[in-house]
Amino acid sequence: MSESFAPTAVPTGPAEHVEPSHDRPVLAPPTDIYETEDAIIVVVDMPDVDERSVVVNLENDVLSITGHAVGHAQTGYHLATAEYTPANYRRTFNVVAEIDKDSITAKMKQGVLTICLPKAGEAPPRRIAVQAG
Amino acid sequence: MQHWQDWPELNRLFQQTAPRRQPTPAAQNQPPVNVWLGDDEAVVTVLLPGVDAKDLVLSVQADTLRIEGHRESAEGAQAAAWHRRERSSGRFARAVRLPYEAQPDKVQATYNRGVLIVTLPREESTRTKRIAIQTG
Repeated sequence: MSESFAPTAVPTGPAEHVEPSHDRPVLAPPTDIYETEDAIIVVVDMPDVDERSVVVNLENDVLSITGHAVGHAQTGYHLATAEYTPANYRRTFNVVAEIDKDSITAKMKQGVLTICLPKAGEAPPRRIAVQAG
Repeated sequence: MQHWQDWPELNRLFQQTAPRRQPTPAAQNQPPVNVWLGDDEAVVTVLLPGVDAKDLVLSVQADTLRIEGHRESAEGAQAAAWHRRERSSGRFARAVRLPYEAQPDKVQATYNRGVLIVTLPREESTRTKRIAIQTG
């Protein structure tokens, strides 16, 4: 089990290979996802990200999360140790449950984004009867 | 020895294909640290998302800053089902050594957006003093 605080690697699909136009690293932030009786909760570590730069979007069962770290460039100082660089965070997840899109909430607290995706009360029947030919 | 980062083209290829991981200290549960040095003070910034400020303990002795604390795990301990669990929790500790001694009583720390920023003014006696040259 990874115990690192830094963003971890995720398998990326072909769409992820589009290069960013800036030279900031684009990182996959560590994420917890759990499910309660009435919601799916997504918790994302995005340190140094201002809540105004966070974009959360759910479209076609794909939840996408982006945010930009502010950075602490100190003028007149020399960077003697650099274990991290201010990054752009980006992650997408496939959400399979039926979600009540109008009731989604997101809050940012001390660099941790928590998204609550309430499950839709009456999920429409999705099963299609297959007929023998 | 040349490092792979010295080849921009290879680096670019790596960026595209390798898993994107932020450089981390080898030891686990060590939050990443940046150290900025100025003439009169040092500024240490640490990425520590989601820590309660009261769970952070800072101490300074001579030229060493110690950062210790713990992070609570996600609230979903009673969650019905876990789908993914990547965020770390538990104890962490870092010690940062500066190239000069700090004034322990003048150290200041803030914690905002999950980033700890510690400002450590340099001990007067260790400062470089410029000597005026007299011409005769």
